Amino acid sequence: MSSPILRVDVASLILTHPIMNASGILGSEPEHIDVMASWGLAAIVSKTITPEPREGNAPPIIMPLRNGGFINAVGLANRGKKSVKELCNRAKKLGIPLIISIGGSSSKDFVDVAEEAERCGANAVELNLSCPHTPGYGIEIGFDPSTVFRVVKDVVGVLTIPVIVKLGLSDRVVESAGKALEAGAKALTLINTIRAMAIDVHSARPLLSNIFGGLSGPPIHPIAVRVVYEVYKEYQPDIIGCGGITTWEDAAEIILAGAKAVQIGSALALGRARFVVQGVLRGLVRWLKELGLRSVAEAVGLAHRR
Amino acid sequence: MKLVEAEALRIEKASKTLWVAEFSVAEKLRGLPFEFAMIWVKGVDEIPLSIAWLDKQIVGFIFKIRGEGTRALSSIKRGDRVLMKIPLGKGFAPPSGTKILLVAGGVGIAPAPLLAKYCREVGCTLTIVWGVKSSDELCSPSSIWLDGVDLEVATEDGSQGFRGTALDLAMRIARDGVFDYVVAVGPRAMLRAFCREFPRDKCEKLVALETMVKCGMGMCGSCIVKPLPKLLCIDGPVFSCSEVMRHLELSNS
Ligand SMILES: Cc1cc2nc3c(=O)[nH]c(=O)nc-3n(C[C@H](O)[C@H](O)[C@H](O)COP(=O)(O)OP(=O)(O)OC[C@H]3O[C@@H](n4cnc5c(N)ncnc54)[C@H](O)[C@@H]3O)c2cc1C
Ligand SMILES: Cc1cc2nc3c(=O)[nH]c(=O)nc-3n(C[C@H](O)[C@H](O)[C@H](O)COP(=O)(O)O)c2cc1C
Ligand code: FES
Repeated sequence: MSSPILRVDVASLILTHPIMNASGILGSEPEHIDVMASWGLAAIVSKTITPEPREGNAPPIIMPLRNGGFINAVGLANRGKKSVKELCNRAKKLGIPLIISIGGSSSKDFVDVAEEAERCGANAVELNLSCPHTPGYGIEIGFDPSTVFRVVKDVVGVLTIPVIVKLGLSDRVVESAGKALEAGAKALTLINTIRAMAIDVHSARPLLSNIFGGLSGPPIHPIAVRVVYEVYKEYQPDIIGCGGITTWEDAAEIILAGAKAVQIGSALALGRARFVVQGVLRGLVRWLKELGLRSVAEAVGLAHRR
Repeated sequence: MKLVEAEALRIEKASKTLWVAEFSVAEKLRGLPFEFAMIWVKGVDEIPLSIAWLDKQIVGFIFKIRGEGTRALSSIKRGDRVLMKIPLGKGFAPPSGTKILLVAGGVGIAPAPLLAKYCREVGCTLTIVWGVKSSDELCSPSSIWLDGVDLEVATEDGSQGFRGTALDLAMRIARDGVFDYVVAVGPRAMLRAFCREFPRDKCEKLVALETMVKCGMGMCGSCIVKPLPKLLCIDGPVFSCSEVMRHLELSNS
């Protein structure tokens, strides 16, 4: 049997394989794009860009946890809309697809950066409707299905490039997913970090300067799998699975739940990115063969079979 | 990289400008020369500092007070605890048998003790040139784990040792000796002058850089060594002069 096909079509993008980075791992400077291009990703997702520059929070902003996860409150540090052009130009030069992640506190903010992304030649945009720790940016929008509908509709209305919508964990995530699709989203990225907190027991102080942060890494993987499964079951849309993916088994699991592609965040830390991407890809090839499948596409949502 | 709880053993002023902080940790640590730690002075700030020395369960730092974080570190007491991510960075591990010249300006002396220990262990020959403005900025070699190390001192006012800068003295020493690696660490202006002026025949010229380290783990991107596609916290802090010349010229601080 010939080698299984890793190529996937997701959100109208044709990717050489299913792995991209999750937004927020580098991705705010053109030099970051160079670094990330050397990791072997099929596409790069930028740091969430807001219309105006944001300084971000004071350290500690990211801490490793005893359970193998991370807690972060970077605070959406980015150079604002004016950085989009440099990011796009660098990705074009390197020949790698670029998805611009966008953050904002109103429909207008999202439209503003999205138009800039399209003008500069981004391959798609990902609306971050789910940052769990920056007040006014994200989760308040993602939690309310009718607001999701309005923001997505407004952005889709002015763009021709695909719009991906990134949602986080909430009681109404399935409903929000439905609204995003109804408003014209080409794909959903599920999930973002989960609002959390860590306290240093010796000093009785919160670990992060921001007090609250987003939980990422292996501890959230089963939650991501569950959310992907539920949303796929309801609508069978294009899903980009994200949350705790570290090994090929993690990627395989979320693909079986319904994801067509995956994003890896925390596992790319500490200089391990290239190794992790290669490991996941090799493992996926072996696994598809073992299951007798010809492509990633054939594995998508298989866990729903009765 | 580990996240470790550390208990202060000794926090003291070692000279007019330098402070020493020594901690004990519960587990044995390892680290290469020029690797660093992110130290969370609880409730105040998290700051990167080079590992100055490391011996089983003792880790030491040499620092200068610059702002809130370093001031808070200088005011903690014996028995107080900090949380540190350690070791971070790639470090610099020269092969055995090589000859190394370290050119340290001011608090640039911080990574010297660990490099000296490493050189004793693997069998490298190390000469250290330490330059300061005036002799009251120097501290006794024994207080910073530099006993028995070939240490040459330069003061700009001539109050002790060679009169001139660390770079002046290093150039003089290099005239008569052959080195495999010459590593400069100190203020940016010194590094720039070193990369421009130090003769590069017969040696590899390296510098230990500082950029804004916010996470230390290759995630936030704040430490990018523009215009290079390199992260200081993953690929550094030691880089060759040839690769960072443009970086040094772009930044004018
Ligand atoms: C890899 C590395 C190793 C270092 N080793 C030492 C050392 O051994 N001894 C020592 O005295 N200093 C060292 N520094 C510099 C030290 O990190 C800064 O002096 C310290 O962070 C200043 O913090 P502050 O809160 O006291 O001052 P602030 O008022 O916050 O800042 C004063 C100045 O310090 C620099 N700075 C501030 N925050 C950071 C940061 N997060 N990362 C890098 N630079 C920063 C900036 O230039 C700033 O203008 C090192 C820096 C790096 C990147
Ligand atoms: C340091 C850090 C910064 C992040 N920044 C962003 C961001 O700017 N925008 C966004 O949509 N998600 C951001 N995230 C969330 C990730 O994209 C991802 O959804 C989450 O971390 C789960 O994936 P993981 O477990 O593989 O890390 C960030 C995560 C981390 C750890
Ligand atoms: S300090 Fe965050 S990537 Fe280096």
